[in-house]
Amino acid sequence: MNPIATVAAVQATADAPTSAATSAAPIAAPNVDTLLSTLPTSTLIYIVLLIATYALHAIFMHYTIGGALWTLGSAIRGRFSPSTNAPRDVLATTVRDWLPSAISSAITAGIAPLLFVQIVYQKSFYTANLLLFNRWMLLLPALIIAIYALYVVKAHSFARGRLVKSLAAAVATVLIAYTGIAFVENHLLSLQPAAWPAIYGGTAHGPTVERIALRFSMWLCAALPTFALLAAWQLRLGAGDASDEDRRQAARPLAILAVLATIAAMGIAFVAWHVAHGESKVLSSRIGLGALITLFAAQILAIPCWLTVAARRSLNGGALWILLALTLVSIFAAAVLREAHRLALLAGTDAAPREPAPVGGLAIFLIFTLLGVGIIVWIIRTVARSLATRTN
Amino acid sequence: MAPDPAALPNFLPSAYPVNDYGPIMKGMAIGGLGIFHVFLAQFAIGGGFLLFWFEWLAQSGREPLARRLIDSVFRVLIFLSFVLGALTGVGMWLTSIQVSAPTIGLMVDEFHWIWATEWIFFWIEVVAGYAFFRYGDRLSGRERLTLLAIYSIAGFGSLFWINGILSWQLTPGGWVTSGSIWEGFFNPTFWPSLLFRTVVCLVLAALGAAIVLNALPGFSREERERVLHQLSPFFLPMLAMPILGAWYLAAMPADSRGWILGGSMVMTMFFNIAAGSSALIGGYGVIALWRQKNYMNGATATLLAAIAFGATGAGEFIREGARKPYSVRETLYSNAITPAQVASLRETGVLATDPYPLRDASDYPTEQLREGRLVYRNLCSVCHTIRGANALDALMGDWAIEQKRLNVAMLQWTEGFMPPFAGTAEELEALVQYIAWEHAHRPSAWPESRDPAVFAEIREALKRAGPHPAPRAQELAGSEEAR
Ligand code: HEM
Repeated sequence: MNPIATVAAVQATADAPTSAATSAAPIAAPNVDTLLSTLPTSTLIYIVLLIATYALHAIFMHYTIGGALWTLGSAIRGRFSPSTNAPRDVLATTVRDWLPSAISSAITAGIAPLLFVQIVYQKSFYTANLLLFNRWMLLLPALIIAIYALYVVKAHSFARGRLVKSLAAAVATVLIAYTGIAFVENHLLSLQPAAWPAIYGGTAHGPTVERIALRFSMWLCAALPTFALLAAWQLRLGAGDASDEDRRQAARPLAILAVLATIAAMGIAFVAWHVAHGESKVLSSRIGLGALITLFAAQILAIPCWLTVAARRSLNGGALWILLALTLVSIFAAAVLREAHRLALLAGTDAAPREPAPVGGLAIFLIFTLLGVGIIVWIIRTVARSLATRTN
Repeated sequence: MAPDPAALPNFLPSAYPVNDYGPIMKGMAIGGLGIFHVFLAQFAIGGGFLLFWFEWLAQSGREPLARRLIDSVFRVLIFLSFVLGALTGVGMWLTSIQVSAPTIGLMVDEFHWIWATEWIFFWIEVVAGYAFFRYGDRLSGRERLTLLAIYSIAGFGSLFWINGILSWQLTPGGWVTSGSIWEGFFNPTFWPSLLFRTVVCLVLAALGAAIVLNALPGFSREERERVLHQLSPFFLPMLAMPILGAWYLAAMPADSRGWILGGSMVMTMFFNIAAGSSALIGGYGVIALWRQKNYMNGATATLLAAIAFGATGAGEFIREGARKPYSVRETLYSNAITPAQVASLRETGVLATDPYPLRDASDYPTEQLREGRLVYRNLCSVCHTIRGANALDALMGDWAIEQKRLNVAMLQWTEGFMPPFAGTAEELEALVQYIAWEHAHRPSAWPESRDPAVFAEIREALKRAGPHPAPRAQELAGSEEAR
């Protein structure tokens, strides 16, 4: 596309009245199914990669958010401070010990969607970054401080007191939440191309606090069941030398957290949808409706599974396997819904998904992906085997 | 064929909103973070090799004391590189978007599979690193050694991949005509740059280990000396630095080399700082550790690491500076205009394409000054500020108005670092008026300057300057066209 034409398109949208530019206004969005059938294959491939790698990021990010909150609660209850004579709490210490690795993994996993979003939605992602400017860039020092604060919570040699640990956990939790909020705001802003010039000029607002709060709290509640499941699996696999008694103790709180958070997430999602007036009409498409039904069904089915875990006070049965499958399905379906919504809102604007020129390197990527997965599996197996033989 | 960026959307500064950094030059933001990141990342990469070496020394019985150092060095690696290194790396990406979204956009478009491959290496590094960190003490010797080998190779792999992309910016090589990313990746400065950086990685790791060793309790002076001696293989490759440096310089475009070797005093000074600091570190390392003539205590090691930080900074400055006026040589100017766009923007104007208003429009007494500010924002602000670093007020505020017009119209001749002016005569006049107004401390009244004769003069000067980059660049590159 000719750059002048592109800019003319930008200007045309810039001239749109501010009220039409605000996100709450209804927009005649095209049908996502039709859009998908018109997209070039290469764009579709990048969108699929974006969805897949984003889903991976979401898994670790969920654990990070949930784990930070859990650790904060544990720190306040004195679980990490020898002076409080707190009872043995393997769940709390396991989560605390794994949080730095989880956050590192969330960051590492975030790099791939960061790459693919720049290919498909270069214009909207960059523009949102630029409009947020300082608030966006602050997420980096925020994360750095958050990780060091988590190391303080974990430290044995200094910072033993309950107050210090609680403060450090609170700092980490707030800063991790800040990062999540920055991503939410960036995402919402990236969906408002018509409003960008006015937002830049200060004559229109970006996403409202209400919408950011709703979307973020939806994420937060959706993160907690994933966290609960992963923590349950950790104990089941023997992290922190968990005994059967430790697992029994952890089962009920984790299940209660997951059930309450699932219900809350669904409620908030409903309200958020209502506030957005279903602006992208994504549910009138087969793919959007399909993703939503899948997500809803997986969430509903998860509730009795968690109730079983709570009733049996056990992390050993098949319920955790079913929950694992349901969680993966939920995260994937949510990622599909998220992309379908974005596609519908940006199609037809000059921030529509791009068709990148074909470039080399795919074969190398695939070869190293296979090799990398092989090496990672080997490392995990070797360590697990070695630990098992040493414990026996 | 390489993509014709002019045919792609998003290649115009005005495709994106531009933020004002006040007195800070945008290059300072990316450069400051970049130096920090490069330093940490190179330390981490060398650290992988160092740990492998020490583990091998310990296991093979050559130096049993090495074992005592490994866990401490690894802890430093995890705390520094897994946190600060990783996040400053993400920070580099996000800062690049802030500073020049079109440049990073072009890089992503061309090299995303390389970056995706690097991402796989990050994962291997993270998993191997944490496995060693958490469970290393419960693994067999062989498993420990294998994990460290994987960790260090993965770390080096990430350097390998990113080095191809960064060196491509300066010497895109055959990519410019063929569009093949492999020709771009294995470009003329790929190997000298990779080898040079590898040497730096090893030295930084050795300095880091020397600091840790001196800080650890429980070692006698003789024991420390023995362990320090084992660090000398990490200093010895510095002896090859002059050759690698010369190779790198030789592979650079002639004009870039010319700036470093005297053409630009600042670049020459930074070059000398980098070379002198490296000689100092290498000399001390070789004499103290290899020849064992001297002891390297914690203070000395820290001082040498600080000097190495300075040298890294100087080196990165040279690397960034040598590219000017391009951000991707022969493809994209620093201000995100492509060479092919200059001529057409002189017809259509750069402002015609800018949808973003001025945030402080009411501060300017005339429409022309507002326009001038917008031209500054689009064409100059990526490298200049008005009153802060590399300030236009200081550089050209005192020039006579005719001089301002002529020098801006012939920008690439005025200073070879700069791209040709890419706007209309009216826009150029608006810019000149704006700078004069700023220099006069923003008076509340300012006459509009719309004399057709002045515009005609400017048009003539633009024509004489031509739409091509610095003639000096072309001359040195042996181009016929410039003569
Ligand atoms: C551990 C701290 C982090 C948290 C809590 C977090 C949270 C989130 C959340 C809540 C979203 C969804 C936003 C939405 O749909 O509205 C998101 C998306 C995303 N995150 Fe993270 N994130 C974290 C770190 C990172 C880092 C460090 C990176 C980059 C390396 C990253 C890359 C991404 C990307 C690329 C997306 C998708 C953006 C888009 O599609 O517009 N995240 N993150």
